Amino acid sequence: MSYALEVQLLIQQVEQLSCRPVHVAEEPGIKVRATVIPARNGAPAHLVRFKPGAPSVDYLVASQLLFLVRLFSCPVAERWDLAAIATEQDAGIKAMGLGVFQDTFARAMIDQIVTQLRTYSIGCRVDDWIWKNMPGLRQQQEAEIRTQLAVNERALAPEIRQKFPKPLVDVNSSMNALYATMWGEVLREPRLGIPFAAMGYRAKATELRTILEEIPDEPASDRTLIEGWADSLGLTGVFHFNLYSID
Amino acid sequence: MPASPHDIQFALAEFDRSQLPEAQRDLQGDDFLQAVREHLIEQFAGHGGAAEVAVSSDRVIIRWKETSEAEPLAEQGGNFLKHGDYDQGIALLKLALKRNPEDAAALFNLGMGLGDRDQTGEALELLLRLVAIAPEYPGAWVALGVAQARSGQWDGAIHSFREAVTSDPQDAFARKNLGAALSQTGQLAEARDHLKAAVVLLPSDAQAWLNLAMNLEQSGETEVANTAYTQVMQLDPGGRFSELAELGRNRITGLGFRKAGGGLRPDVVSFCGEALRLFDGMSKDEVQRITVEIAMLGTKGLSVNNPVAKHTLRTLPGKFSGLHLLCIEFVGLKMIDPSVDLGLDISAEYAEACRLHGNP
Repeated sequence: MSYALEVQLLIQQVEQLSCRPVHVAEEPGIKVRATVIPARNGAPAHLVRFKPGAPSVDYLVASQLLFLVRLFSCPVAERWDLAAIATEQDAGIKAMGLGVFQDTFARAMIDQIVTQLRTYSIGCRVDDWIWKNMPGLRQQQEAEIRTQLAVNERALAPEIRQKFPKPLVDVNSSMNALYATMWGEVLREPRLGIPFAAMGYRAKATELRTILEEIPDEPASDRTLIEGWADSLGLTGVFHFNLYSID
Repeated sequence: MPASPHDIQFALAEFDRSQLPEAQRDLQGDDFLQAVREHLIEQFAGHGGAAEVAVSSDRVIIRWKETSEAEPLAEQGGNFLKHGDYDQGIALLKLALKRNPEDAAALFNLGMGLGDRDQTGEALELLLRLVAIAPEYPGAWVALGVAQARSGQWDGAIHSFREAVTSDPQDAFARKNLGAALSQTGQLAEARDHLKAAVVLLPSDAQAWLNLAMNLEQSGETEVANTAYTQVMQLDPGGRFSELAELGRNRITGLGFRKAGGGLRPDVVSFCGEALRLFDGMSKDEVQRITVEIAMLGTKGLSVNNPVAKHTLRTLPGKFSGLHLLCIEFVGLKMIDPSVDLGLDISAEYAEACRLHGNP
């Protein structure tokens, strides 16, 4: 499969920065639209996977690659992975009100919300960069973002929210509120943020936005950004940073 | 590249009351639902589309509809009114006025909308503001006149309609309404001129013809009035205006009977005689049943001028013309309650039928 020139250049950039090849492929059964697994512990390649038939493959791959670009743009001693030990997960389960659920499910939920914390905070940087620097992918980017916005709006339905404890739902909705507000501005559709504001998430979205804007948009500050958001969302102590090592 | 339309739903209990104006934050019940709805409509207004917002006792449902071009709020509101959604239309128009108190289109549409909802006081206030700010706004004077007429301010209404006619003598609606208002206040001759102009400008408007017909009838020009009523019935068959026209024609026929003086109508004498023979062997209850059924039919307008149109009764076999039925009703009422006035003076024919029947 051939990718847009911008994507090919990004692949080259990642390969040069990390000294590892990038392997991009469809993955049947994948639950998210795209994902990246950086090479670790001597793994021969970085793996970028996307959903078969995804219409915006170039954008999806580019966004995953930019996570790698940011990671490998940092000095070796400032490259971090997010991880959680059992006691941190326990703290998250308590804080997010997940104690009523089966343990495996509750831990999976904590993993998910921490993943969202990382992908939304750093994702804001990545998407902003693509929007400004890759006009050729803008149409795909807009389509994917609108799809995500629609998914997030649907998640406001009472039938969905009532399945999960309020603290967890609030953390998720706060990040979604910021996403809707920011893209509402970029796409000149401020209506996108209205439902979240109506449900009281405007203040938290503004808080996240302030953190995002106050912390420098440099890959080396990504850890600080995640920590800032975690603090704002009540996720401090739910995970920790491990030094990332490719070897 | 707009997203495909979908509903956004969330629980009403999750609505953040601090979003509402301070005075509305403690509202309960329907007032709260209405406040939430209006707030959300206001929030979505002017963003290149329109939000339909429904608020039930447990959830809020928002349906966003994209439009290729952002319509001004006043236009959006006016469109909702045209489609009968007064709540949404009025909310948008109020918002348009909040943003620009001199928005002529919003003043006009909101004035009309509130008038239709019988909120005449507020409608009048808005339309007076409109003519003060933009006296040339199309339809402004007519809208004001209609609101004034609705609140019984006939002098004001006539003044407004005159302004509209002066501004545009070809304004058919101004002519029609001025004619109606003048007729209402007894200024029949002047009214007639405007009503005649109105039917020339609006030849297919049954209401304009009805106004003219009623004016002509009131003025004693019954023959022309009858023609005008006939025109109404052709333009609005089976409709409300047609019913009123039928009543008018019957009044004219009744008038004709009264004016006929000594000359008896043989068909009426014959119908009355038949009725007398019919009722001869009947109990009072049976007579009453037949008479009441005809009276009920009569409320929908029985034509006494059309011998071709036939009616049937449940209480009596056969087919009858309108005049025939009215004669049976007349005779029946004479037997049940002679004090009732049918509005059709056939007493001379009835007396002759009684004489022939052998009743003194």
